[in-house]
Amino acid sequence: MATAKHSKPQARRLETGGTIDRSQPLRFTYNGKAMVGYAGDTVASALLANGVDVVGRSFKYARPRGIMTAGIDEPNAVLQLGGTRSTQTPNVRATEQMLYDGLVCSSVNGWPSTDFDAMGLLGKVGGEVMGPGFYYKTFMYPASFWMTYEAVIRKAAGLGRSPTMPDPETYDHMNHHTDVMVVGAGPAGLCAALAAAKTGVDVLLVDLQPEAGGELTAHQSDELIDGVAARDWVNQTLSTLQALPNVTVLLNTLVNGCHDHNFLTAVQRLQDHIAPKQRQSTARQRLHKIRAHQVILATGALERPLVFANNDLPGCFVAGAIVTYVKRYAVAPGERLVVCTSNDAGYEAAMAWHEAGKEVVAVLDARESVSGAAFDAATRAGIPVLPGHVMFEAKGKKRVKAVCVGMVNSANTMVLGSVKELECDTVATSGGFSPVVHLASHTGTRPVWKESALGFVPGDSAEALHTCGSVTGEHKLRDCLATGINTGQTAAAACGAENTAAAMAVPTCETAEVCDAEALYLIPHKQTPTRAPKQFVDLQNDVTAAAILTATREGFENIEHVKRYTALGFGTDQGKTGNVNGLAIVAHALGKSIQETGTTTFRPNYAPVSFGAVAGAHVGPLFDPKRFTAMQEQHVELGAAFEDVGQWKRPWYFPQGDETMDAAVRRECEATRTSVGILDASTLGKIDIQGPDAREFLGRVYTNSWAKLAPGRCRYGLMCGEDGMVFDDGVTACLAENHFHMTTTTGGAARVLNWLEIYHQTDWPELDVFFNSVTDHWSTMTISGPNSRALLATLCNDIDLSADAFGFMDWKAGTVANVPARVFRISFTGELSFEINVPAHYGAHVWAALMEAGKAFGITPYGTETMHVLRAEKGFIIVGQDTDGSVTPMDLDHGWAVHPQKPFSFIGKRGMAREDCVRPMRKQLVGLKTKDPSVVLPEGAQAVELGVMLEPPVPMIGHVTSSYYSMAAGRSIALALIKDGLNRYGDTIAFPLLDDRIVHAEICKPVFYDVNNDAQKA
Amino acid sequence: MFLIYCPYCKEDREEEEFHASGQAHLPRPLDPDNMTDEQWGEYLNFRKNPRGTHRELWHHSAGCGKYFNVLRDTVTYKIHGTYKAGEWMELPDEVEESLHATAANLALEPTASTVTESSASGTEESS
Amino acid sequence: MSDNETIAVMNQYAGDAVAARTPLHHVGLSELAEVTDNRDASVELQEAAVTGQLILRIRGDLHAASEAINDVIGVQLPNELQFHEVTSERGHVLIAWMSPDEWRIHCGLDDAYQLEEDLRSALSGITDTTMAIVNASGGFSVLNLSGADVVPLLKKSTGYDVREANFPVGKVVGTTFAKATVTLLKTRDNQWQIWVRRSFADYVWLWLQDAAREYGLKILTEE
Ligand SMILES: [Zn+2]
Repeated sequence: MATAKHSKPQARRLETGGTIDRSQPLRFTYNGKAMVGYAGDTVASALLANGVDVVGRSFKYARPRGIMTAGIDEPNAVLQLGGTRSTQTPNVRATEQMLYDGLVCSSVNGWPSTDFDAMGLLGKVGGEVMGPGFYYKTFMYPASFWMTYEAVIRKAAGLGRSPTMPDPETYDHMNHHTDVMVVGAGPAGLCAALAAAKTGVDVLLVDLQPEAGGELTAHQSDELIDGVAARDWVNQTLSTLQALPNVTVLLNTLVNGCHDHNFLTAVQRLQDHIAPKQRQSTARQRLHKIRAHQVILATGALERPLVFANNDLPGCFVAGAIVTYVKRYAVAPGERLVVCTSNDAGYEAAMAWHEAGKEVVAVLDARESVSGAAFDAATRAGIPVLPGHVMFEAKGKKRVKAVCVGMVNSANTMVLGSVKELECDTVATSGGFSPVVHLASHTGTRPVWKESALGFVPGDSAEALHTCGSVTGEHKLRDCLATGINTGQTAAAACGAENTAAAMAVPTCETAEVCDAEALYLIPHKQTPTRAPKQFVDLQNDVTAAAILTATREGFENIEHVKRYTALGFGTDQGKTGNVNGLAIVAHALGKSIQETGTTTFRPNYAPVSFGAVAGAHVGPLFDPKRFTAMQEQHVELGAAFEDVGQWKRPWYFPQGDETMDAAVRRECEATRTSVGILDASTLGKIDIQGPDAREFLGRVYTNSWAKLAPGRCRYGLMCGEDGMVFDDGVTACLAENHFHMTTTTGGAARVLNWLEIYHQTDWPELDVFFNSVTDHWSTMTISGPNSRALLATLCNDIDLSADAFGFMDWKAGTVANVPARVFRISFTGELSFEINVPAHYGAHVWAALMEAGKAFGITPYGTETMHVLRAEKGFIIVGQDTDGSVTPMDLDHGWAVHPQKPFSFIGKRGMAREDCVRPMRKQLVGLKTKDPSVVLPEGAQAVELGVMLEPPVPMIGHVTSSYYSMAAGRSIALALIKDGLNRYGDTIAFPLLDDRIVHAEICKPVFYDVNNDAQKA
Repeated sequence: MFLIYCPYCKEDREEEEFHASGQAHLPRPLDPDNMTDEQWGEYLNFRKNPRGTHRELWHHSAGCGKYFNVLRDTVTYKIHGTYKAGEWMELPDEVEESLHATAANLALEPTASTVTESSASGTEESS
Repeated sequence: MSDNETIAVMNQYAGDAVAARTPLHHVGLSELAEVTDNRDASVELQEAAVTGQLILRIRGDLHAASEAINDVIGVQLPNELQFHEVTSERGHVLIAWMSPDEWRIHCGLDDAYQLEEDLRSALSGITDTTMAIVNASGGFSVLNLSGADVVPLLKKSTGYDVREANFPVGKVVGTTFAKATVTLLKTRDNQWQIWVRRSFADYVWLWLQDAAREYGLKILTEE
């Protein structure tokens, strides 16, 4: 194992400096090896301090990779975090993960080991096989191999491991409304937030770093702002903001999406920096959902590395990362540095390195003539600067050993003259800055190329969205401060704040003389890209300059197609370091400008977020509401098994002891048919309908007539869509002349109420009627069976329950168990039944009274399964089970419930008269009797004609919708939708089953019990 | 996630309080029985899917329970306005212009203006 | 035909002999109140006893209707997103705007029938005005939330803007609450009320327990 070359602990930690806390050493393990860092370290800075060069193997070519950046743009140092099976977190960027004591991490791209990689031996071969476009070329055929290939690639290339146990952490969401939201707490964002806040509007300031300040903090800048060192100004400004009551600051918070109408989502890492065992029981991460009146994006810019041969060797850094590691973390990740740059930023790395007492071998500046403060300072410090030079190739195996240097022409397209090698172990490059335009582009706005900034900047947004600071391509500190103040005031004014300009002055700062940057993306090599050593553009996906050029040669000219062909920008880093370099290479190859070539589409998320944060607290018992009736406790006490009906929990059956479901259902059926059963029917939708036009309205939405239904009577109705298909059914009672009580199916309650409302509100507002849901107000219990009248009589003495006085389909108001009740004499079982409705706060009381009084009759509670069997014995349909949205009332043989002679063309009338609805050979609801009465057909079984050849395609003639064993009929029974079924009573058809049985059944009228309806009318 | 002004509650509300109910201004024909199958099929099944402004019916399901109309751009998702059921709202002038521009650029068919006109006449018939 | 003949108004009060159970009866809140009594908690939760609840629907001359209602309960019809409370000889009455043609009235459970009758007779004579009243007393749980951290708790639960400027005392809104739909009222400074449909009450209770974990939750019982 040669991961840590320096056995001395933290050999690369500088003696002084940095913001780390040297009094707090933190132990951690990387690939099983124990190491120590300090509080304030990221995992990346701690690994570098311990001399770790290789942090992974590349995706396709299995090349060793090292840490390249110090932030969210890191493509290589993507680790697996976690010490136990349940706490595994894949895809953690070491540059963003704060170190804590006991942290366990490992590289993911090395299988079986990062340093000696078995795949690495095959790497070059595998690399050739998986050339550009391998997603399409290599795996297009055979499709069935895809899963196998994917498994191999995942294991070999290491895209991280999912936890195999439930996540013990919790997550939650929080909603915010604010006047001004500022994304990014760098100099521009701080100024914008403070300028807006001072006008009195509400401000929400968010930054993904644990500290504010952006680059000022990362680079520990000592430039003077308002006379104090920039890092102190940052802290003062942040304190000022945090003390204001109208300001909320969220640090450690990644804004991952900027959605329509200024709705932004942001994930706050509340406890990721704390050792798991010390975490609070509260959420690990919180997803903030933010609605802002005005949004200010001060998202800054990310430094672009230059592309050169072997630029993926460990030891190659982006210039700004060198500054951050040296000055913030007091880590010099090497001894001898070569800088290659096209702008002034490279000099800052050289100076930091030099001031840390390390050797700067040379600064190679692609610009022919260089001047300005950065150049002067470097020269003064004695750092060798070579203007007009570039480094076009790095050499080494697991670490940079040397670089090849040469003169470059003024267009930066060709290396001139002789080349020489410079020995070094660290390389820093800067190709300029790419503004972070992602959030500004999430709602569809395309970024615009700004030549003066050599970067894409946000385009004009349709939303109330502002930008300031580096994201606009203006990188000078003075500009960032000034545009920040100005933008904050503009946004506050848009919120209605007055006198905004007076509220705050622009902080003063010195401005050094800068030297204009030059455009440089791919450093030219002596060889063509296809012959030169690999020049990586997207390090995470191993996309090389040669691969991009191959794509353009193969005819891919649209940047979106190049992206998909090469996988450029597809990694978890979303191409933050590589995209613009890739675009520039495509543009150059096609002879177009970068603006013409355009960018790919930026979509949420800006960076990966955990599924846990997305789910929030909506997991486990809170995943979906569970709805309960007022009798739930009693059902639980009775040992009910429950069934989900929509969100409702309904008793399914009530097993006694270790009774099976079949046995329980048979017992419940028999008890109901012979004595009395009780069902909790509270979940049925109930709608109170009042108004002079209530009756007219019912006539329009039901297929049958309601004009003559007298107060005190109930009627069954079918509801159809405009297409003529049944979508709900139920019994509606006429409570009084202008007052009805409608019931709907349990699952259809909300839909039916909306159905009534939408017609009333949009088409028939002239009808004088009101609909109100009373589903939750009424508890409904049905007592059913020959003894139900006798049972009710024991608890109700103010209703004449005799058959003459209280007939079938009548309802009465009265008192049941001392509670005011509406009792409906309706039946879904075919037995004498009473449906008792009482206010839900009395539901448990009345249920208990019925159970107590029912003991004398052996009262038996039954669930939905028994209800289904009992109704099927009578041929009563269940909408949604025996219908599927393609069934008319005529198909159900329910023509008796359709009254086409009604004056108004009721909903469904025209639909069910369409040619297709009246044609012969439609599927129609019939009963089935299997030839072997003990065989119960499976629901969903497909019907075929007797004797048909069972070779595909087999003509299907229908299917079973409901099927049970019926105690009352002494045989199996079924309902089915069969072609032309109503004309085929007596025919025998066949059901070939999955287990190769073929069941024969006779088509019959779907009534298997009490054909003359004597029982329910008793 | 839209922010939608409910014309009944008279304030902006989060999209999750609402349900979209499809194209607005689809008056139920007054005499369905005398329509041909084709005419009825047209009413029943055919809906506009414009690129540009669209009139939609939305339901404030978690709030006041009322249905209302939303005039929305299906490209930018900008909501030009909302108005109560049974009412009508003209396109803001600048919106029409930008739409023509968009339609010309993208050679759209049908143009946004024909969409508007036919919707408008539909409303008059029903009132 | 008079209102009494065309509408089936029903006295739904069972009297003192039968206890009216709240939707969270099964939770045993009074025992939990003892358990959490000494707890350091910045959120307090209490489920109100069952009250009379009337759904009031009116379309037409709202001005005249408002006067008529004032005669009965001593307070006018509230406008959009507002509620009024009044205490008189008929006890404590709350009336809240729900929709342009809908209000909700809370009253004594034993007064719901008489109040419905009184309102019907007061409103029935108004020209060009139509109305409906529905007794829905059993349909809801009324939860009172108080404490220093109620606002963050609400922010974890609803997307509605609960900032002081947007949600002063006296406001009522229908909105989402986790995955349920509720009516949310601000009754006093840092005191809020949630009305949730009975069948969803257990879900909201589970949600509140979870969301309030970081603040500490204390259960209060009615005085
Ligand atoms: Zn509304």
